[in-house]
Amino acid sequence: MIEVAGVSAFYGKHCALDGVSLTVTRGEIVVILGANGAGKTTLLKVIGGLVPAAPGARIFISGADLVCRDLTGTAAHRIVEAGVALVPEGRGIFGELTVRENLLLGAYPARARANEASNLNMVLGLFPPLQERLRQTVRTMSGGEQQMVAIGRALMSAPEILLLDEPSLGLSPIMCKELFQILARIRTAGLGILLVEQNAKQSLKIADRGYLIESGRIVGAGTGAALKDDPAVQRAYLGASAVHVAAS
Amino acid sequence: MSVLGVAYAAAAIAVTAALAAVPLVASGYHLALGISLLYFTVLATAWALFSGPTHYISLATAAFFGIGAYTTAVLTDFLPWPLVLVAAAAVGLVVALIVGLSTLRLSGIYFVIFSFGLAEFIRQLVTWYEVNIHGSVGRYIFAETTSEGIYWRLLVLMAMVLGAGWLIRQSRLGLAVRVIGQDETVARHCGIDATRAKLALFALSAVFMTVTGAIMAPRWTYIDPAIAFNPVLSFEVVIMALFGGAGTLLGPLLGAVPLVLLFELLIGNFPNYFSIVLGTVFVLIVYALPHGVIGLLEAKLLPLRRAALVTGMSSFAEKVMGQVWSRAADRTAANDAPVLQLDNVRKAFGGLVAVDSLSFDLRRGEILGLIGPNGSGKTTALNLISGAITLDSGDIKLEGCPIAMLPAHHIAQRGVARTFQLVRVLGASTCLENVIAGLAFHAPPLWGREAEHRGRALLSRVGLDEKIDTPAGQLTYIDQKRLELARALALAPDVMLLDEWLAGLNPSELQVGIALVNALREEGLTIIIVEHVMDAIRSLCDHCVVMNTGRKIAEGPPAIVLADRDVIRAYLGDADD
Repeated sequence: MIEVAGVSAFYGKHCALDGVSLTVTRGEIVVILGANGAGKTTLLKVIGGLVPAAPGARIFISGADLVCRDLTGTAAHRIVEAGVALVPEGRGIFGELTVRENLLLGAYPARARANEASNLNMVLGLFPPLQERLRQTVRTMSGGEQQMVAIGRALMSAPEILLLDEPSLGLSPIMCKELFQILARIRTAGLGILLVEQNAKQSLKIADRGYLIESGRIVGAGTGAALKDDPAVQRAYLGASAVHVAAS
Repeated sequence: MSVLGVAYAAAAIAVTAALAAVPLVASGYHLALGISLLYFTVLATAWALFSGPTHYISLATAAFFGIGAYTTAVLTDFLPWPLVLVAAAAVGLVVALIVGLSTLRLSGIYFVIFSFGLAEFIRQLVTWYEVNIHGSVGRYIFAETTSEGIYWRLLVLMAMVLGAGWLIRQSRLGLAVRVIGQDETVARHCGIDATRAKLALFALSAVFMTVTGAIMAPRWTYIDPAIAFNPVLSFEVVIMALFGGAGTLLGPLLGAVPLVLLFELLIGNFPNYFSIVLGTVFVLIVYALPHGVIGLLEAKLLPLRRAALVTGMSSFAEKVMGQVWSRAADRTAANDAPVLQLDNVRKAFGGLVAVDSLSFDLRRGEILGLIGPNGSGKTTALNLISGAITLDSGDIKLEGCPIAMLPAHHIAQRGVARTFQLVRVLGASTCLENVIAGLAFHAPPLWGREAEHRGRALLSRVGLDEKIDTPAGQLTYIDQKRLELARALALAPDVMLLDEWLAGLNPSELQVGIALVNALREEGLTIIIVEHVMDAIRSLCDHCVVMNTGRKIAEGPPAIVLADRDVIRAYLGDADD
């Protein structure tokens, strides 16, 4: 599991995160809801080591071996090595490389090299369309297919914890549903998933727990079902009027 | 002119006058050093005129310098001095235009290699001519000129190149190349004729280099191609400009002066170890000053300037708001003909047919939803309409005129604006400059204070009032999307193509976004949206075109097409909520 405590982060003088604490355990999907600019992406970047946390933060991970590692202030590539993989917003794929090369790059960490072949099979099993496109240059693929590559590449590093920043962005409705089903399947393999999503409706449906974040602070937490029925959440994050429009 | 402007002009004149007086007191070695300082400053500044904003690294300096030197060598016996310089400028211009037209489509490393090859090619050509036709490799130059004369000519040239640089920085051409340097695709979709802008600056920069060569030639008395086309010169100039800061007007000067002095110092004191000491010094400089001299100065000065720039403007912004879409409103005559027609459009990438026999009409004032699974060809269709790529067959008509074969900047000028699926903002420019890039290149172009006012109005329209002077790269993803919309609106378009502009908004933000798109339609804009957010499609679209594997599989009002069995199977999946 991963444990984050007292994390703050600043861009210059602007405070993007203010004392955030949360946990994600194995086999659980945790969703973070909040408006744009609330600090969700920053939180994932801090955990992934891409943005430094202010002094006083603590980030720990304990893997299947039950050894607890302190990740506070660790370099990004070592965090991957410790079992945390980030799928960044905007995908961050290598456009000039093929699907196969992108995926194999994900298995670069030492922890993932031994099982590269079996992990590749696992990823292709989760995303069958990639199987027939292994030799295609990723730049020429559609947005949704690129998103599959990005998630697949993260899984190739054999993570314990998967951080996903708006994975449904730009996916068609049908593929969006498939994506959430795939995330539920990844969970059964024992991974912990920390999910930042704007698609609150569908993400709450598969989430075990959720946190609400506002102006860099955690302002609410609960189980997926409880949050879904919370009127405050509905108003702020589910867009009660949007639900109404869709139903009419 | 502002008080500050007068002060700057007075300072420039005073400095020039002081420099002009140098030959009256200095002579011999010091005058020679002055000439070196001037001619490297001119070359580095001229180099940065083109390469600074566009980021096209040119190694062709020696080619143009040599052409100038040879023009002098050939013509000095027949023509008076001023005419020799004019002839040199003309030869440089012609060569630059020919070279530019054939090569400016190259970019990145290919342009660097080409420009280096060009210098070598011209040197070989001149050598061949001299040996086979003229009969000897070298030429003697017996011009009646003195060191003082060369110094003063170079001084005038330096004033001219700095003046030209200053004027260009204020001009639309300057903005155009800054945009091109950051993102050429965006530049074309802002209506910028990228080829012409690059060509103009490349030619101007080449003319200054050629004239420098023509002025400097008499210094040598004897020249041959190895002297006139010395490739080391090209590298020295690049190093000086980059060391000083190629993105600013005075940067190259700040690089040339210390480096020329350093060369002198090293040659005087360590003639046998010149190269190795120079190399070491370069490494140390790059290590200590990664952003050049100007970067060091700006780090100290910038906070002060930023603060001075932020000024309130919101009341004026509101006044201008009504005029922003005047052009679209002008054309909303009672006219039922489609604004945009696609007829049997096809586009294949290699063996993959991305768009196949696609036809649809876009009616004036409607919002058309282009939907379909990932990879069905929606973005390709937008790229075809906006001219980012050309179609293989079929036809696209805007107001009845075929536009399928027009370059992107023409289509943008005719009133088709777009946003990009993965946002493309000019990260190093402020939000205001991003929007002005959209205002300055359509007809009639907006510039100066007027452009600034409209730019502010557009930014406030999309909710970015407070970010006017923020570099676009520092905005959040969503704010960048807003900025992109403002830039597209700046074109005063008739047709707007929105590629997943509403993606990534949370439900309440989505409501605001939907209201904004709706308001744009009310103001007379015709819109195509590519979107996966069904709530937005249902509440915004008058008409939907559903694509699958490049083909249209359904068309009609959203309520009907979204209930279509094929559409559900291919796109929506079984309804479960």
